[in-house]
Amino acid sequence: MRLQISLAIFVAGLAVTCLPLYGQDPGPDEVIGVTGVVTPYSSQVQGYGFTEMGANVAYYYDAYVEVYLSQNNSPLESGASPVDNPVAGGYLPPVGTAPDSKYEIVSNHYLVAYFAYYDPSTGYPVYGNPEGFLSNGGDFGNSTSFDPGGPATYITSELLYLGSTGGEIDTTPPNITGLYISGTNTPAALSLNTSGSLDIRGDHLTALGLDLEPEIGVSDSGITLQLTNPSDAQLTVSYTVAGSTQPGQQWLNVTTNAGVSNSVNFNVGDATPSITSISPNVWNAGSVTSFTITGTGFGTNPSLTVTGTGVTGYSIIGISNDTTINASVTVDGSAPSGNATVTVQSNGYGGSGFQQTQPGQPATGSQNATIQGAAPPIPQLIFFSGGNVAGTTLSVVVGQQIQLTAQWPAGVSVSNPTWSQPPGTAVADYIASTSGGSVTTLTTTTSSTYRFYWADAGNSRQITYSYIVNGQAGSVFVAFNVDGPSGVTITPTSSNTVSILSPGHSGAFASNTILLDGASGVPGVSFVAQATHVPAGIYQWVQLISSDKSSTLASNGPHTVDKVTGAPALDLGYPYGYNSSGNPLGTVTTTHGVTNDTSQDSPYSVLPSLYGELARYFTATMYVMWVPPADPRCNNGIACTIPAPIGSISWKAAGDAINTLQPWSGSGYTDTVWVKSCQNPPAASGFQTSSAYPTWSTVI
Amino acid sequence: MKVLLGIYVAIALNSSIAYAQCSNRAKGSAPVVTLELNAVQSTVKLGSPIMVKLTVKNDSDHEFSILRDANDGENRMELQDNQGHLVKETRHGYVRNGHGDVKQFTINELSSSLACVPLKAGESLTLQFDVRQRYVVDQPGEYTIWMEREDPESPGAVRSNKVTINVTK
Repeated sequence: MRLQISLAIFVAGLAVTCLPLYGQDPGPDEVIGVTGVVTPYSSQVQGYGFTEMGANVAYYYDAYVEVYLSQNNSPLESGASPVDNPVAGGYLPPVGTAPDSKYEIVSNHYLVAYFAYYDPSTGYPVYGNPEGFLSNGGDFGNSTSFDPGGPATYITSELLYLGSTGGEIDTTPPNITGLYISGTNTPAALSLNTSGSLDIRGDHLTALGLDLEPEIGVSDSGITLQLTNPSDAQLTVSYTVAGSTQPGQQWLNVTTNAGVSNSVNFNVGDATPSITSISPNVWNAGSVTSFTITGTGFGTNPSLTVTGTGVTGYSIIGISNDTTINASVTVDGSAPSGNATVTVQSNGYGGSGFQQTQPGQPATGSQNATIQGAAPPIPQLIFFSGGNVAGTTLSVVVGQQIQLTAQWPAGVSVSNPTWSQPPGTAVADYIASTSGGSVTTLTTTTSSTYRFYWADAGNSRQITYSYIVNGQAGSVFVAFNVDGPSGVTITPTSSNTVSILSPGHSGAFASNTILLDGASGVPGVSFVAQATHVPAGIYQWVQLISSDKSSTLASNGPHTVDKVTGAPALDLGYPYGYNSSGNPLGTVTTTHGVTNDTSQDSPYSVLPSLYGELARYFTATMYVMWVPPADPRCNNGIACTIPAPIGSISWKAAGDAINTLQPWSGSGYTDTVWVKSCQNPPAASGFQTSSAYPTWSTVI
Repeated sequence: MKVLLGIYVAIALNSSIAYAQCSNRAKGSAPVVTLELNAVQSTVKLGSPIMVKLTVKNDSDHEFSILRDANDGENRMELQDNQGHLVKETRHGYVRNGHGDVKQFTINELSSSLACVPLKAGESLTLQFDVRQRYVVDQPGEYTIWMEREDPESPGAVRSNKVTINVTK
């Protein structure tokens, strides 16, 4: 190892310039100062210094140099050269080295000038006390005659300081502690045909900054390293790993002026394939698509895999290379929309197979492409057994059965079929008879047929059938305008009295009878339904009795009985106006032009003479509903209509009669005279519109 | 002894329920209603419904109203076996056929509701009955049946034709 610092000084014209003149002879007017340190043995350092003059300078001057060697800024060795011409200088004695030491070398360079001073008039020296004459062994007092003669001349010499040269040297070799991917703590493992940046970390990597261009040695010439950022603790290098590099373990080391480092091993292998693009990356079902895979690390003979629902085939086209694969894929016509996965497997370079750069490194890289499924089939919505009504608006009437069937082409596999809940009020069924009336609640269904009834009217009611076919969600809908009675009011009319009819009374009973009321053909209460609009259909009535109590007073005391044991109870039959034998009772009539628009009731009780008093209390609710004609499209042979509720009105009546026990004097009958004690003639509350159905489980 | 009682028969009328009239009755007027009774099936297997139809016809030249009881009680039924004996009644028949004593009726049996049903001249109203609701038919044989009800305008009852029904095992 050698450290040398040179300084060139142009004496003539006082031009002083530092030039890298190591190994060059001084030219005219030049003086070169040279300082250096050598390590004759690994355990020694030795400093030196020289002052060298050009030939014309040497004609007038002699050279001189002083050399100082320090260790970690502490003086270690020094020396001065003899004055000489044209070169003065030499080596200091070698000294032993110490670890982690820095050695500094400084040389001071001088010219030696010689002067003669005399007084031409007297011939004596005139310089009284020139410093140079009194020191340095000058020639003061020495009288010498110069040729070609003349007065005595006094000659002296003077050191002319030119400048200093110096430098430092580190004697500790570099030490590598690790090799990492730049900027990370990931140990370096390099892939073939890649480039990047590495951090060589350690100490003395630049000989304490004295060698900023250390040499980096590497085991394979296919690996090119370029120093980009040196520091004593880290050397950042860019690298390129040629494909010709031998996979496996490699090494590198660092050499500075202080020596050669340890070697650090790293692995070189194949890169994991990385796909950067697939073009095109959307593949249509039912087609063969050619596509190009672009990326890195594919190797020289990559393998290809394409997976995905509906992918029936694939192949590589032509010759692939490290960055490009041309291929084709076949997607079945029934393929649903979704993803296909493209996987490239590297087989390494040159048929050597995939060589892992590091343990666990995959040999494959994947990326998804998109399969555009074929348009799924669309179902038809069949209303009863008619044609397709999807996307249309149908006109129906409340109470008419709605039956929709989703009809698919043969072979279609449908998942998650769902019918939407009908807007408005809808029921699955209303089952009513004398023995009971109940509503079957509509629930969502996944079956292909949806059947229900609307209980109220409304327009633009949409029913949507949703499904998934071939992995694609879809839906179809049909809208309904549901007609029904509107502006319905129920007008109650009361007899406003409670009557007691005696036997023999014109139009009376054979026994005394309390009527609530119905005497002389006037109903106790009647209800007339009128509407601002009605579609085709008829009214239907249902009367539910909340309470029907009769109280009697006889010789054995008072007694009360309620006919209703499970309120509300159906009044006689369903619908109202018929009894349980199915015979019409004449209590539902048509009086205002719409069939069955009027209902009436006239409760009565016979007054047997064995009672002293009899009272009756009657409370009921009359419901009015609308029964449309069956939709002509309903041809499935089952009930096509149910009544749709419109509303209800509650009413009540009460009367009390007392037996006077006085013989009745009328002809033809044996009875007593009864008188009315008190009464609450039939009275109705306000009509309440409602889409709720009347329900019951008992009948009286 | 069971006695069939008409509402306006002058004797012992208080022993049965009778019904209001919807039209004014005029003493001495001729009946305006005719009753026609038909058997749905002339031969019926024992235990099966014995259905008859009663047609109430306005046989006058004017409109009137007839009374309808909610329990069909204004129509009395008479069923005799082949010996001419009245067949045992059900409770319903006891109350509705006019044979029962009103004092023996329960309070609930005493209460009902009514309506007046108008009939135009020539119009008719047909009602149907299951004989078994009113009589206990538990023996095969030949039975004779007829029905009656009050005439809305004349002071007396009108009776239907007789119908014979053969009940077989």
